[in-house]
This record gives sequence, C-alpha cells and structure tokens, in this order.
Amino acid sequence: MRIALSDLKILLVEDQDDARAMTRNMLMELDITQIFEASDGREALSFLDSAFDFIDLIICDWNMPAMTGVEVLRQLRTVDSSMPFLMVTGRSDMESIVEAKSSGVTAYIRKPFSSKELEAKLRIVLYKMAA
Amino acid sequence: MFTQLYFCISIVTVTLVASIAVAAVVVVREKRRNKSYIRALEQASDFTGNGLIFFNESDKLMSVNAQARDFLQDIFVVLDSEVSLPALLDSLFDHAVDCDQSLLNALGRSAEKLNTIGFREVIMASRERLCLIEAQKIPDVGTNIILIDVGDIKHQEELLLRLSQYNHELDQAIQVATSGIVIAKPDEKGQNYTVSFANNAFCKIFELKDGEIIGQDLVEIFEDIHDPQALRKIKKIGIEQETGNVELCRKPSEGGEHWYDLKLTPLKDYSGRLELFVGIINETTESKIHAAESSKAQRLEALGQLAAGVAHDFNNVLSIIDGYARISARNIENKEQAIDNLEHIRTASKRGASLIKQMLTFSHHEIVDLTVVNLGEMMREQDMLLKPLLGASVNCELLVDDDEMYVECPAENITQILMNLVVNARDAMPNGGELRVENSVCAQEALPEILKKQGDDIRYASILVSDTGSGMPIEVLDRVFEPFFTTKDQGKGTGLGLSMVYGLVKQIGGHIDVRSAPDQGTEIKVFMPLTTKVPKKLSGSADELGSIRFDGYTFLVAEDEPDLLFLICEMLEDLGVNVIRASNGDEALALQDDYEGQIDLLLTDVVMPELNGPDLAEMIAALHPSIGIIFMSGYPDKGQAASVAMPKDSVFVPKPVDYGALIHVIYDKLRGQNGTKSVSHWESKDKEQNMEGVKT
Repeated sequence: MRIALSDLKILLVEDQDDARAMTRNMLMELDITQIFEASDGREALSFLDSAFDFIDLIICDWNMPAMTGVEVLRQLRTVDSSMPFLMVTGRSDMESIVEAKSSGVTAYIRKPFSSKELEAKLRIVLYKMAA
Repeated sequence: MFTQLYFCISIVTVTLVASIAVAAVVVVREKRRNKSYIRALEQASDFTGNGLIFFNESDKLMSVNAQARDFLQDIFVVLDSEVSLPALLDSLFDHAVDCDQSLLNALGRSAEKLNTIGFREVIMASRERLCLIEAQKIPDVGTNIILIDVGDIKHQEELLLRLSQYNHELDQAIQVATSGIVIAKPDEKGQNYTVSFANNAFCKIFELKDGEIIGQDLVEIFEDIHDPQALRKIKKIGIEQETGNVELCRKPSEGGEHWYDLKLTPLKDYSGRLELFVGIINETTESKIHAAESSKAQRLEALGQLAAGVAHDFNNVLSIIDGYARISARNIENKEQAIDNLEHIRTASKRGASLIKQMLTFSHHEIVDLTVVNLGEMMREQDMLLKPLLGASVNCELLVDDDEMYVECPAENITQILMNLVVNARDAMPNGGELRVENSVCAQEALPEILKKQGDDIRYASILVSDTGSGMPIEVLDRVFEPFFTTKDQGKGTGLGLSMVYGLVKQIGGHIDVRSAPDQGTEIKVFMPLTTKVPKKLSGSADELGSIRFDGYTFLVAEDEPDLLFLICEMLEDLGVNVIRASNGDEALALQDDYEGQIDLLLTDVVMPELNGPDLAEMIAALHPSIGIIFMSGYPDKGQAASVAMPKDSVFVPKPVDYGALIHVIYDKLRGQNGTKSVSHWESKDKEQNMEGVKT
C-alpha cells in the first residue's frame, strides 16, 4: 500500500536557508507537515543514523559545500538501497544527470521548480519505490 | 768335373742373378705402384680442394699434393724430402691463428708421441687464407696431414659473433627504453598471440616479472587492466591485423589513474602472413594532466570574461527586482501598486532566467530536446521573420534547396542561428548591400578537416550566410566567437550573439567556418550533421482522414481500461507515432520521467484511480510546458459529472472513442502546436459527438 503524499515524513537537505524555506513552504502547500531539515550532508547523515526508520523520503540539494548531494547519496546507498531520494539540481547538463542516475537517485528535479513540479516528482518517487 | 762344377755354379749364379733380377724388378714395380697410388691419392685430394701431406713412420716426408704446396708455399720455401714432421710443426706454430693446446702438446713432445694425440689447428696460410690443419698418426704407417680451406666458415663465425654482440647491444638498449615493448607471435589459427619478448618497462607497467610474461596470451595481459573499451579495441586490432592505437586507463592497486598510449603493429612476411605483433606502450598520464590543466586554465579565463559580462547584465536584473521590492515594502497597503510591482519583478526574473539559459547554451551545459527538422522547410519558415529585420536597403536572397536535409536539433536553435547571423550581416552593411542565405548538402571532400576527422559515415548540410558588408580584420576574426566580444557600440550588442551561435552549433556536433577581410564582406558557413532519423511530420489533410499521419511524434497515453489502451495505442502506432503506454496516472508520470526524448502530446482518460486525468495533465504541463494535452471522457459535460475539475480550454474526445474523431482532434492539436492553425473548429463537433457517445 502506497503512502499518501500528506503522510510522508521527509528529510530536507539544503544548505541555503531561503531555498530550504521555499521548499518547506511548497511541501506544506501539499499538506505535508512532517518535515525534518538538515543544512548540510553530515548533519543529514547523522540525523539518519538515529532516525532512519522514521523517514520515508529524502529531498537533497546537489550543490552543497563540504559534502555534495551525490556524496550523501553514495554514503546512504552503502547502508540502504531503497530509501527514496529526490535530488535537487541547478545543473542541467547531461553529464551531471547521468552521474546522479548512476549513483542511485530515484528522481531529480531541476531548479527553479514550482510546487506542481515538486508534487509530480514526489509522486514519481513514491510510484517508483512501490514498483 | 770342373766343367760340371762351373756349369752348376753358372746355373746357380744365373738362377740367383735371375732371381735377384726378378726380385729387383718386383721391388721396382712395387715402388712404382706405390708411387702411382700416392700420386693418384694426391690428385684425388687436389680434386677435392684439400691439401694432403704424408710422413712415413720415421717422420720423413713422403708426399705433398699440389694443394698443400699452395697452402704452405710461404711457410716452406722448399717443401721436399728434407722437411721433417717436427720442423713442419714448428712452422705451423708460428702461423697458428689461435694456438690450440693440442698443437702445443704436440710440439712439446716428440713427434713419436703424436700418435696418441693428433691435432687440429687453424693457421694463416699463404695469400692470407685461413686453413684448418688436421694431423693424425697412423701406427706403423706414418702421419697424415690434411689441410682444408676454412676461410668461409671462419667468416661466418665472425659474422655470428658480431651478430650476437649486436643483439646483445640491442637487447640492452630495448631493456633500458622507457617505452614498454612487447612482441607476440600468433598461433596457427592467428587468433591468439603468445608473448615471446617483453622489456623491463613493459613488465613494470603490468606489474609482471620477465619470467611470468613470456608465453602468456597478449590479450590476457591487457584484460588485467579492466578497461573494457580499450580491450574491445585491442581485440579488434588482433582480428583485423592492422596497425592501431589504443588509449588505456589503468587503476593500480595503490590508487590513482595511469593513462597509456599503446601502438600495436602487425609485422607480415612477403606473402602477407602475420609473423609478429609488436606493441609499444607509453605512459601519457603527465601529458594528460597537463592538457587538462591547460584546458582548465583556458576555461577559467573564458569564465572570467563571461563572469565580468554576466555580472553587468545580471546586476541590472537584480537592481530592478530589488527596487520594486523596496517600493512595495514601503507602500504595502497600496495593493494595486504592489501587484503591479510584483509583475515587474516577475518580468525581471524571466530576463535573468533567459540570460542564464544563454550562458548555459554557450557552455554546452543546457539539455536540449532534440527534434528532427528539415533544413529547407525551416529556412522558408524563417523567411517571413527575417525579411522585416533587414530594412529596405538590404537586398536579401534566400536560396532554398528543398532536398531532404534532416538535422537533429531543437527547431528554435535553427531560428536563433539564422537570426543572429542575418542580424550581424545587416549590421555589417549600414549603407545597404546584398545578403544571401543558402543551404546545401556538403560534399565529403569539401568538409573542414575537423569534421573529416569525425568519420566518413557522417554527412553534413550547411547554411551559408554571406554579405557584402564591411568585413572583419584578422584580429576581430580571431575573437569573433568569444562571449561579450563585440565591435558594436555600447547598448547595441551584447557580444553574446555569435558565441551563442557557436554554442548551438557545437551542441549538435556541427562546425562554423568564417571567411572575411576588410571591405570584402563576410561569409559564414554553418555545418550541421545530417540524421537518418525520421522527422516529425504531420502529413495529410483534415478533409481526408485516411491521409493523416503523425510520423516521428511521441505521445504519452494514459488509460486505465486495458482494452481501450491497447486499441488506441495500436491505432496510433499504425500512424507512425512512438507511443508510451501507461495504465494509470502515476505510471504515466513515472514513464515520462524516464523518457529522455521530447513528448509531444498527452492523451489521457479523465477518470482514473489515484491520480486522475486533469491532475496528471497539470503535473505533466508543469514539467513539460510545451506538451499538448487531450482528454478522453465518457461524460458528456467534460467530466463535471465525475466531480473532476477540468482546466480551462481543455480539448476533449468523447467516449466511446470514435477513432476518426480522435485522429482529427490530434491533427488539429498538433497543427496548433506547430503555430500554423488553432484547434477551435472542432469544439462544436466535439459537443455533437459527445452527446451521441455518452451512455456507455
């Protein structure tokens, strides 16, 4: 049985405060209220260490200092292969998309995005994970 | 009595004398016979070219043949019966080329003892000939000495020695070479190659010991590198038996990457049969790093220029946004003005976004949705747009070759390329002039070198834009594709035009050639690779249903009724459509996410479980703003009966689906998308058919 969008528990990883706030607002527009936030990759991974079972899906920015989204994803995939992972990218070149796909991203979304696009991508991620 | 005695004595004497005489005759005969035997032997050995000397058992010279005299004529002024064996041996010692222990032994001892020893020695005979002397004592008979001319053999020996020295030197040189060198021999079938030689450098690269590598299969050694692409190439060279270069990347256990250039050369015999494969391998890691660094430096320099230019334009955008936001914040109660200001902010944001898009295009980082366009058709369509840009003083000649020239690139790119080139040409002719735009398929031999290198199998079309304007000096020509480089007055050009054209053309694997000189006009030729793919082609006429086809288009069809989905998709595929089939809304979303090409149309059922048609359409439209959307509905009033909110201006096809009507609706929708015709005239028909086809 698939989880309803509004019941999703999401970990949002984004280093820029305003971008994170924007995504949070969009998620709240979709009636998603259980949103956990991390401002960099390390924080995200240490949060997952203790609360892994509590999270249904991760939304993570690609371009972050210290640890990129792809590095977070690679670390995550060493311990878990099925956690849905939506990569947020400002880059739109083919190479980076191929790289993201090959490191096990469930779907990616290109910046800037609307809440409708975000909703579509969340549904895609849920569908792919259920399949 | 006396007489009798005398008679007797006489008889005895006569008999004795006769006997002696007979004996003497016998001895003489015997001697003669021996002499003639010896002479015959001498002649026979002369005939073989060998010398023969014979001493009797008391070391007295008995016989010398002519050849022996010839060999030894400098050594013995007279080689006659006076010469004894010991004297001969003494002389030989003086002439020995490399004095053998056996000869010394023979000399140190008496000639009698020679019988147990014998000897063999090479001497320098007369006229500087090398001669092998073999002596053998035959007990109770004498000593035989045979002389054989060994000049040739000695020469060969020397050659062999020199050759082995040469080989040794070569081997040392090959062993100290920094290039890895390997030699492999083919097996009988010519399928496998066994290593017969590898130098130190080669062994070091592959971390193998000399002993381990000999006899190994050549391909197996390269297999250890784990570079599948390189390995395929190596195998191909082995099969085709042609010279080839392969770039190898090796990741050794201690980490890092090592790059190598491997050259494999087959060596064949006169009949063309493969004898050897010689491989020479050189490490290229350093030069590769160097090249990457220098290209990075160049990119950084370009980026610096780009950043400086963008900063200017981008700051303008930001100050507009900032300005209107401030005004609004000060006077937030004035709602009308705030809305107005927000509109300005949105417009400025769009300008910023399009600036970014231009830059990404230049840096080849923008994903493009490729479509197949017909160059000639595109040019005709542009004609209407281009003419008004030119003004009255410029005479424009558009020469369209209508042969099929299909190029895979976004249609708007062709528009942008043409626009930029034509505007530049116009600006180069402020006092008017001739502008010519023409397309053609390029002859392979007339292609620029850079394109010839891409392979013989790629064909190119070109668009030539030429003007009779002011032309460009060489220093401008060199920088013409640099971003933000412009010769136009400030405010008249951004300097992004030609650099964008450059980016667009490179993105599709093309090339630009510019020819110009001051006052000689300019010729810009854009080369674009031709594709064999079918272009999107909406063919046929609305009046004749059977004639309509949608070749090259891609549709996403979402329908939860399996039979209907099947029937619709089969029908569309028959009309040339590439169909992505989805049995519900969520599947449709996921499938389009995985699809990498452009989707032209979404055909969806309205009522579906979980994600309904309109919601799906809204999301798809958010992801693909240019997609066309058609709903299929079993409800007469566009879905309202099913409590589904429909978007405005939705295009409907009633259920049960009348395929003819569906084809017409799609045809109109696509024509509308192509910007040639709108959909409207079907609206009324829809309604009529809706009413007919409701109750199912």
